[in-house]
Amino acid sequence: MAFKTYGEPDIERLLATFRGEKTDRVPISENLIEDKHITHMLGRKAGSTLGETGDVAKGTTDEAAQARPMDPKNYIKVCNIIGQDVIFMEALWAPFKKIGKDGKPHIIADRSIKSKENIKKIIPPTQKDVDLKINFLKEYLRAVKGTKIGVSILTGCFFQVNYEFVVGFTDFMVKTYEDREFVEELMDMAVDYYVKIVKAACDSGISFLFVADDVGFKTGLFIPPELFKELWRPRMEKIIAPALNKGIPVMFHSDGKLDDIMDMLIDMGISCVNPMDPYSIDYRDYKKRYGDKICLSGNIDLEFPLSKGTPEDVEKDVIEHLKVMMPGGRYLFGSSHSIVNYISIENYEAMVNALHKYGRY
Amino acid sequence: MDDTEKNKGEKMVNPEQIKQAVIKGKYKEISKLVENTLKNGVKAMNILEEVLYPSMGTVGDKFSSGEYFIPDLILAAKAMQAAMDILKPYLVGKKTKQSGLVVMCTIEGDLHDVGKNLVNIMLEGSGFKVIDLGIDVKAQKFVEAVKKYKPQILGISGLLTTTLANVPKVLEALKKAGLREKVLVGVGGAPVTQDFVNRVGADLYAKDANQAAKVFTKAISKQRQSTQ
Repeated sequence: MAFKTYGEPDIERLLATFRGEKTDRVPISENLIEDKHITHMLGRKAGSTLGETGDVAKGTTDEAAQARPMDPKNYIKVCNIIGQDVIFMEALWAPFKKIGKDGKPHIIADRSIKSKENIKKIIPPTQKDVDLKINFLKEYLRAVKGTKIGVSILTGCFFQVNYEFVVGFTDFMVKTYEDREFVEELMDMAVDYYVKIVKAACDSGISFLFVADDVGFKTGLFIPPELFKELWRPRMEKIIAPALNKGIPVMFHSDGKLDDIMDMLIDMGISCVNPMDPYSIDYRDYKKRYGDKICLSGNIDLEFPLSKGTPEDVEKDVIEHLKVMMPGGRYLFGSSHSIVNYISIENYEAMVNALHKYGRY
Repeated sequence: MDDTEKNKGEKMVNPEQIKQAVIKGKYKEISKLVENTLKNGVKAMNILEEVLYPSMGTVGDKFSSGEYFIPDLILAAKAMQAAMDILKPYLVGKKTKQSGLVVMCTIEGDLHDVGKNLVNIMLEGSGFKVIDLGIDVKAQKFVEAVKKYKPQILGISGLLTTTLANVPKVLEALKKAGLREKVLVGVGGAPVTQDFVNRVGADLYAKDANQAAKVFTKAISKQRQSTQ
């Protein structure tokens, strides 16, 4: 089997889909395609779509924080092979540092910040950290000139970076109840970095902004919706403001069940929600409730059919999704998270090919 | 220590106050309430089994229904722990109805531990002793832990489909070591289903942390009945 696509990549298709306008076909997008699939597509090693080394640029080590993104020429080739309209530049994790035992600054990933006193040890991200990412972004923007492929930046996870790397999950969640000043101070430090990234990215000419922050899980948000809205909304609004002020659309990613904040996201001016986690979201239900208000993205399940099913199962599931999601537009096709190495080559090809075969308007 | 000793000078505490302290996560206040209740002659075992465990059950139900969120669950567990710290000296050598030992971990290759940690909270709140092996645990380490701690239940958590493919390896390693019949194996995690558990030949499945505590409690009680 090989990739059989319909219609060249065109960022206008994706942006029109955000707006709910008519397009030739459903656009396709993955924020991460891991290295096995990239090697298969290009016939040589070229890393993953988020990092040249093949490791997901998770920002958990000093090396990862400095890592080069995928070579732009390779990324453009990938877009042409699968028909993706956009390339993503990763700037997900605010690089908080502290002085290590060797006397040098290192990325904080040990969840060691537990008190206001500890916060004083943090070395916040600098303009140099911002410039590193923006210079990579500019390489992408230069490379797509002469093509119809757009560029987006993946950023903004001020909540997640703190619970995942800086404080630790349980301590951070409890502190949202018991020590709001602590969590707000940390979030604000991260927000400052993301605002600088977004401003510079918007000035550089991105097609849309992609903010990602995992705020929920299988059954709902981690913290009560009212508290969440107080803590999270104004900060995310600050991050996305430079984009919205310039008329640049904003896409949002969070795993988990988002029922409690869908109306809020729409009200904030978000154009697209990804990835409609299939363990908590029924795409049929979301299409009915939100399909005419916001673009919905993703939901092809990593477990079944992508990992455990056959190419025929994949095709069947894609057809079922398209039948529900295509009417009225506002559907950005993709997996329920990312194209990881444990998905077989055959199943990923079947997924892409089914979209191009059955996803035409 | 004699837990029937009365101190008539102490204000009588309504067990409902202790229950509410757990449900509302008042971990700073609960110690005093438990101390006073003991001083008023209520047996430690009664406080544990008739007040604390049911309270944590209520918390779990509220979490499952969406009324409670992660901080509520953690704070309730902290209150439960504070109460247990007071009760412990009175319970030495006594076996509670729900006591059991569980070894928990995430499967080899899986670094996601939020689900496992929530299960730990609910299990401890329901009276289990939990030994947490952490994340990314290989089959051989399971075998060593079962030999060393002799748990009634081995709890395996996994978020990724690929890593769940390592569950049969664990079952096989336990079988090879002659330990499979000595421990119940429970598996959970977002992509895990009852069908998956049946297929790989594990014993227990729970869809969330609250259900895990209920399923494990039931399994232990069944096991005890069959050995009596």
